[in-house]
Amino acid sequence: MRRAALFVAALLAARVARAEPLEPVEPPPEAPEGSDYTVEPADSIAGGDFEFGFGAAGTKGSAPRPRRRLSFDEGGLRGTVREGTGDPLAGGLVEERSDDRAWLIGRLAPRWGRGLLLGSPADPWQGAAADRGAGAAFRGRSGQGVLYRRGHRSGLECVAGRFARRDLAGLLLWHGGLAMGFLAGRGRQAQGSVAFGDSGASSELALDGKGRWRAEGLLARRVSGSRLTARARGGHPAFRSLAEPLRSGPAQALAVRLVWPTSRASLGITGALWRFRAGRAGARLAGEVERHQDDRSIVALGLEEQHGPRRDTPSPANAFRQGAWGEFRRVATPLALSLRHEAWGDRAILRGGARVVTTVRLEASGPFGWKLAVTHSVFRSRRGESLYLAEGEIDRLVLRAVSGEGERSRIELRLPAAGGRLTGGLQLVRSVGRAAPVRWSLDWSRRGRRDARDRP
Amino acid sequence: MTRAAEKLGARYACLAGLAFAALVARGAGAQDFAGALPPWPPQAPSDLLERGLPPRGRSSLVEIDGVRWFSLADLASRGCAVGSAFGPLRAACGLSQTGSEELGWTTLGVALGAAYPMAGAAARMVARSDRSASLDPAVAPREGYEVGFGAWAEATRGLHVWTSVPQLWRDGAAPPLARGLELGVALAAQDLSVWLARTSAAGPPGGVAEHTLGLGLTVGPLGVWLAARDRPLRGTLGLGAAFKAVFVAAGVDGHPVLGETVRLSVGCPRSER
Repeated sequence: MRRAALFVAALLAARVARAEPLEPVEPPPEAPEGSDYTVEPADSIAGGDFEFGFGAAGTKGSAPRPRRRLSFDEGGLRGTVREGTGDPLAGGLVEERSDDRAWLIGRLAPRWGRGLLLGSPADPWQGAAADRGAGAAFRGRSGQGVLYRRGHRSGLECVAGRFARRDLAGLLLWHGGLAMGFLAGRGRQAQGSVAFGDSGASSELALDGKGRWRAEGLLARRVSGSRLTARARGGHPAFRSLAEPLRSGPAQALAVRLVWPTSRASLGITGALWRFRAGRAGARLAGEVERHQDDRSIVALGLEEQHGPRRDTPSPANAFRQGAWGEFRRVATPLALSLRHEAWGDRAILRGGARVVTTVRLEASGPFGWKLAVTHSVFRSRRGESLYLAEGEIDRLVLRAVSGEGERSRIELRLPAAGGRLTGGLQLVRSVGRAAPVRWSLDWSRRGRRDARDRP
Repeated sequence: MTRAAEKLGARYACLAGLAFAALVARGAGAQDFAGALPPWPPQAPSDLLERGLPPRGRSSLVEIDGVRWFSLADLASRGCAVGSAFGPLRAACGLSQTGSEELGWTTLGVALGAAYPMAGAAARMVARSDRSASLDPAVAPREGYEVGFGAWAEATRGLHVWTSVPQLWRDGAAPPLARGLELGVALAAQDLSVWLARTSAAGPPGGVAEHTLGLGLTVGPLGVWLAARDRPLRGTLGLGAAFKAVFVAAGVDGHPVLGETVRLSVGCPRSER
């Protein structure tokens, strides 16, 4: 229940759990600039549960676009299948597990080691990508194929499929914390890596057929009550992962994050330097302080300064941004409230007005599972600035690309209906100089549990 | 000059004044149910009707407000609002008139919400109709509607945050003032309170946000508050007195270009249930 509302919270919670700052969300590097990006959360259904849903979405004056989904976890078999006209999440994944082996067929997002060879190395200021590997908060879409895994302490993983428009096959062997991976494609394309990891440190060295390499190490330690995470990366600027070339990230990077937690508050500082290639380097310094009133509310303030490009895209190489943000969240019933304001400038002391966003979300819930949620955002971004607003829908998180100046409102009503829940959404956009049609969505879903008498 | 010409001249003068006031004072906040009480804490039906912020207390209240905008004799608002509480529910309704019979408008407002010890929220709806609609039916539309909401929560001990989106949805005739999203934070310690609010630009492109910094002091039944706003820089001085059966509050907003706005509120609270 409350999945739509919890997706954004899940993203934030995942970042909090990894001791990452509550900085603005942004789509991954492979997403086209200025386009909406949709991602689905990792399954939350437990053993024996199933969930199916039907929905449609559209805009005023256009035909509805229907979509369907089914998720199940039946003994050792679990999966999710989605279908819909123009649905970016269409497709599925079926997983068969036993004690020491697993088969996965469908959309895959595996992660080996630090992600240099397969998976995704995180941005320099992050601990790990949020949508790659087991345990990630979101289910990524790096490729389609088959994956077989066997063993716990020692074992192997084989993968075959289509990644980044390439047919690839890979093998990972591991023993304890040591792992060796190989990836090969058509046309004698081959890459290999050696990785080592334990609870406090992990590292990976990846090499391609032309001798280009990339290495990364991460160290996490507790120092005088604080948590210190340091990360270093080096390698050849032309090294690209065969599986995910667009997520290869900068060739060199150095990042440190320090978090001082107390019973009611925490202070975090992040510093990062990176370099894609000669003449394309960046740096970032960020700090944030959070205070928890109880388990249900949090107040956070952050400051950040950034030099140079965050992505290896044709953006200006000397980009300078300074930003500040404040956030309050109260997750409780019957009233939940979240407020966020952020301002970014391209000159010192937040001047320049690159982008300003204010978002409020109010949720009122009541008996029988009804819920009314209103989200309202006011934004202003300069031409050429990327700005994304996170919108949690019933089964997905959508990062809406917006530009210019305007307001965006979303009203959601959820009601119990026909043994499940019916969720209707209405989105109003008022942009200066542009009239956007009203966007609507309707979704009915039901979650159930297999009768206990049928279970072995 | 004939009477018709005088009437026409007065009408255009008032119209120009209204347009100028709306342009310069855009985002100034309250309009139809503008009480004289400080923006934080919400305690009167006018807060519920104007900003969707439900009072924390459970007392019912009848409130009468009067505002003389920018020293303009023809631009005055007078309104009456009634608020009531039923457990956590808070409801209010009110009627307001602004301006003269030829150019003014009448506003009906209703609001419904809930307030708990740690948070409160409400929806508000306002319907306006030009008072001259019956005299001059040629121009349309004459009626306008707006729906919005507000909410507050206690962030930490003594620290409250609030938000108000008074015009989430609008239809019909444009409201006299386009109002943006308001975010506020208030810190209270014993008899002293400080608040900071930011109202996003609304309306024409290129707008800038407005900020308000306020300070309030309560001594027994008396209260005094000061507030400063930017764009342009201006200030507010308010005084209030609350007794068992009645409260009175008055405030003066100074504006470097438009002049002074004087607000007066009188209310009769009923004892808590």
